[in-house]
Amino acid sequence: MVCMIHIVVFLLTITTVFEIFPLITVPVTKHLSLSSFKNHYYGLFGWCVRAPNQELMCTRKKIGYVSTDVDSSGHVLALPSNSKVIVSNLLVVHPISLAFTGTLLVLSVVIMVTPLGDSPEMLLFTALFSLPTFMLCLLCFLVDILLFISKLDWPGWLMLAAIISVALCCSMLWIMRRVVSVKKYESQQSISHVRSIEQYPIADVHQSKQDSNSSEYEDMQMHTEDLLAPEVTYRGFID
Amino acid sequence: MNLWRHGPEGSATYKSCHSMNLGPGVLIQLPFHENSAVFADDITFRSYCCESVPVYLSTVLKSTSPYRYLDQVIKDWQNFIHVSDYVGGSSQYAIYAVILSITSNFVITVFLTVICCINISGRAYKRILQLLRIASLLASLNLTIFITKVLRKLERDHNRFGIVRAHSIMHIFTDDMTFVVLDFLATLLFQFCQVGIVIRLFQRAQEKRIIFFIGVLLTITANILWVIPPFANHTTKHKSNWQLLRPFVYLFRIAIATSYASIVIYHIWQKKKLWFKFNQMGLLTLLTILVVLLLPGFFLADVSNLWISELGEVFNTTCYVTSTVITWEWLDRLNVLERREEAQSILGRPIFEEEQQDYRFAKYALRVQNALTRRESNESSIGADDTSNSSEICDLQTISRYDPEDPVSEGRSIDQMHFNDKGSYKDLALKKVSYARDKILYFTDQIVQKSVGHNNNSNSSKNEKKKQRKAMVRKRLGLDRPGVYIYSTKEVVFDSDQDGDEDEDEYDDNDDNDQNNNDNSTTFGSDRINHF
Repeated sequence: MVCMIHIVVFLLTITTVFEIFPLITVPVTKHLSLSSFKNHYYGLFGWCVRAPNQELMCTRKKIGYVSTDVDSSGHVLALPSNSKVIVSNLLVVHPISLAFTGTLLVLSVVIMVTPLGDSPEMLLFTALFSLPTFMLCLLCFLVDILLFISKLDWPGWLMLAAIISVALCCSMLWIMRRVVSVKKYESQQSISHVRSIEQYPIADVHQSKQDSNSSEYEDMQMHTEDLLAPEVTYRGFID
Repeated sequence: MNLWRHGPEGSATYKSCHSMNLGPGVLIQLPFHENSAVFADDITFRSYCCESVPVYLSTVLKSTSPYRYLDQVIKDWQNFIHVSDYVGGSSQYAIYAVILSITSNFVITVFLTVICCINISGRAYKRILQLLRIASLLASLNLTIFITKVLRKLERDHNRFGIVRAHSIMHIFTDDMTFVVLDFLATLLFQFCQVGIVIRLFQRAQEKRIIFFIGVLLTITANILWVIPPFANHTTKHKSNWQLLRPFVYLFRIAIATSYASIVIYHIWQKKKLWFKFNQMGLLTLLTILVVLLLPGFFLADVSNLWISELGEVFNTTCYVTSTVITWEWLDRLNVLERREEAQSILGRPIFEEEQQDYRFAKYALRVQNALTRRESNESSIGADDTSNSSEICDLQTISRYDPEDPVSEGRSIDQMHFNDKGSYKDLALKKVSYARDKILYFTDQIVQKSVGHNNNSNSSKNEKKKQRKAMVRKRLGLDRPGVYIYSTKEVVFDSDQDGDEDEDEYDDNDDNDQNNNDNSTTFGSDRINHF
């Protein structure tokens, strides 16, 4: 159980890092791109083109490409797929997905370091939260594929790894919920079982043996039978 | 359907569709004079074109022929065959390939509909099966109408213009409202069925509830968003506002289908022990994996223009039909195997902690006992002739929801005393909230229970005679009455217990065996009837 939450936190940390890479693509940085095609470089917040003098000329930083928003040299946007330019607005799912993954990571850390990890409600909430996180991660990859098809660069393919990682985390969180639920039930059962048992000091038993009082000893035997009897017994009637 | 792509119009221009001046030097035979010809001084030629695309014959002139095409026509032909969309001459959009794919989709859909209506049966999840049948019938009806329209249109085009083009079919997907509406309804119902299938995969009541809520929410959201653009296109002038919604919902649908595929494949992996226990189980498992991956696979094919991506709507319907019906059949067979194993084991069906909390089994047994006591007293007061046939079924949901102190639960214990104290406002509010929550959960359980029952006893390969005989035996044994179960007896002898009381052993055995009201897991020969 402890091991599992550590794995979840580790995987989510990796996923968060993977999801940060698309955010720092061109034009935010000059070296990373989601896709490159015919001297064009595509990022989350815009696109760039390499001029003949090897200088990278980029558009303004905003979500969604605008074909008219070209640099001064008059380059026109050409997407690797035959998609319409307006579809690039869907790249907005990347930052949303990162926010969800980050929140899930925080929730997992809270589960790991605080006693809230033993609460089935908290685990249920976290497991439920992991579902939209997975969906958003999947949507990110689908949008990338839709826009750039197989011309994706490695920050784009990292999203595929992120999907698998989030899917694993999601499964593990649901397994943890089951485990905690069973543990809680078992602990409740053991507490109620302990309460239902009549306890007698061992000294009394020894004393009664020494006294060899037959009537008291029979009483004690009756009590020990109580100890062995099941707590809840239900039997059907046989016709 | 151009959800996100640029249309093919204007992607290629053909000069042979415009008038070409060939100059002098051509002899033209006069139509009604056999041995006379006219020398033409100035010839203007234009290819036979349809919507600015030249029409080519499906025959080819061999190089040995003394005749040859015009240079411009040959040049346009080279352009034509290199255009990969449906307006061009790419072989994947040849009319034969298109008709073959449409008809094969139609045949697969109709075949699976027939299987769904005739071969698949299930008593415990009747509602969801009905939904599946309605969805399959709708899909078949839709494809029948579609294929009829397609063939009629092609015939009309051939008669009127002398050509048959795949191009003319593509507009039916978006322009024909019958196709749009029926396709939408069929997809919606199939998605609900897929929610039902995922519910069947999980055994815990709480997980079933969560899947039901999330699944229904996702399905409704996806379909509401899907239905907006086609109708908005017809009612508003600002089409561009809706351009983004359509690809988003398309991706959302693919994401849901991928999630469904992941869950089913994970479940298949969990049950890998049962893959080869049945003759055709291995093949069916392989087929199930393939069909659940069809929708994500077609998305990739669609995006990368691998094959007939413009016909995606027809393939979508077929993908939904196959991924639902075949998975359903696989689950049915898997359940038969699982129940058989459970019936042969000592412990039977696994019982989860949520079923055991608050002694729900014991309380449920008391409830049944009370109900039976009451009914027996009623029967004795009314008379011997009783034809009432209660349909109470002891199942997971009923047990897990039962609480004798809960006003929602039916059949309150007759031994309980109730005080009429009002309590504080806070208590009252809390009580109301918890009552509302219990009501919602109760109705969810009712839906889950009635549509996707926990105890699965469907067998697609049952024959009618066997069924009738089983029903007769059940009636004779009184198993159609509520609270009556058959326990498969198994002698378990422990070394340390050999000198114990035999009667006690037998009694304990009976308690340890699991309650199993399943047709497939019961053995009628040497069994014993228990009556709560």
